[in-house]
Amino acid sequence: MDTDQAKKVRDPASNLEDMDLISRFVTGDERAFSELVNKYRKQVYAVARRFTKNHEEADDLAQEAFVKAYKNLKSFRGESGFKTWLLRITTNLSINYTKSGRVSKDSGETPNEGEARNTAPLDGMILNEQKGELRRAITRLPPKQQQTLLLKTYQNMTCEEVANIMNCSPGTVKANVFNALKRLKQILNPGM
Amino acid sequence: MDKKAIYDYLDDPSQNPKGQEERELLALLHELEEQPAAEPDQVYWNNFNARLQTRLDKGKRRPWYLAWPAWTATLLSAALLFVVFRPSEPTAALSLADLSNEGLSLISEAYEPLIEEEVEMDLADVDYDLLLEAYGTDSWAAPLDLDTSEIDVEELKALWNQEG
Repeated sequence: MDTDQAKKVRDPASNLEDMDLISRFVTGDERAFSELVNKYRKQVYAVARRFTKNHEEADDLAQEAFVKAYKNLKSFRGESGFKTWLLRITTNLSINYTKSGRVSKDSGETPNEGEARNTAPLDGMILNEQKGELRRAITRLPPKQQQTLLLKTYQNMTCEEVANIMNCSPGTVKANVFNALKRLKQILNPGM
Repeated sequence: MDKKAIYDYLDDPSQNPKGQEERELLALLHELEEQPAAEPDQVYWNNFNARLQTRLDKGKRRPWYLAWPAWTATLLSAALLFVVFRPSEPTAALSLADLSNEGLSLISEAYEPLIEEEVEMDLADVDYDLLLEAYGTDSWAAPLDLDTSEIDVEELKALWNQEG
């Protein structure tokens, strides 16, 4: 987990900085939006990538999320943090994208190439095979469970943060995570 | 399986569940958490903002003060088309039976001189050449070219009296 980024999520100073950038943008300073993009583009891309598992689609979704944020930023009321709002846009776009059936199959890219290079070739292959199996199992989960689990396991988000993004209660998040894990276990170990 | 133990863990990760099944579920959760997000290289990030700017520029609309002539022209065209092609509404035909006596007398006063003038018009003054020119020689009367000497006057009188 990227502790710096996780810290930033709950950092009130970061939220104040965001509000300052938004105020500058609203008064016509376009550079302020660029600063927001620089600050959050990696997280937006990472969320989109978790849903799509394909670089081109994740890139397209990340760009689209920022376009939507740009168009709607003047009506942003600050009820939630900017990051939560932005990730909610990204999640909704990703969900709509996966619902549309346009999402392609796993590109087969290995997300942990660095890790695989540091282990023996056979160990790396086994590790990749296990992770591939887990990724495939996740795609068999019901959509809500899948979405909740993908967000919850992203940068150790709290249940409250996931609930804000998913627009539901923290209790629903916990129930979805619990049911998703139970179902994953059944898929991965069908005999048990 | 103790659902509450998992819920407690999700609220506070320091509360590790004791049961075997719960620990297996959390191991899955940790495995997912540890899956590193695939990170594109620096070249990708260097171009990200420029590509985004291009996308934003494409999607930007013209400000209203530049767009209004186009809107006005569109609205005027639509209004003109409506006026030209609007369906005609049937108008109520004026019936003399619906008119009051006052109305009828007014019409009578207006048209009486004209009617009298028409009646008094001497039909002999009609210029038949003009009529022939207007209606052509296809008239049924034209080719008759009657010779009055051949007319049996008595027979014509009898026919006239009989038929009226």
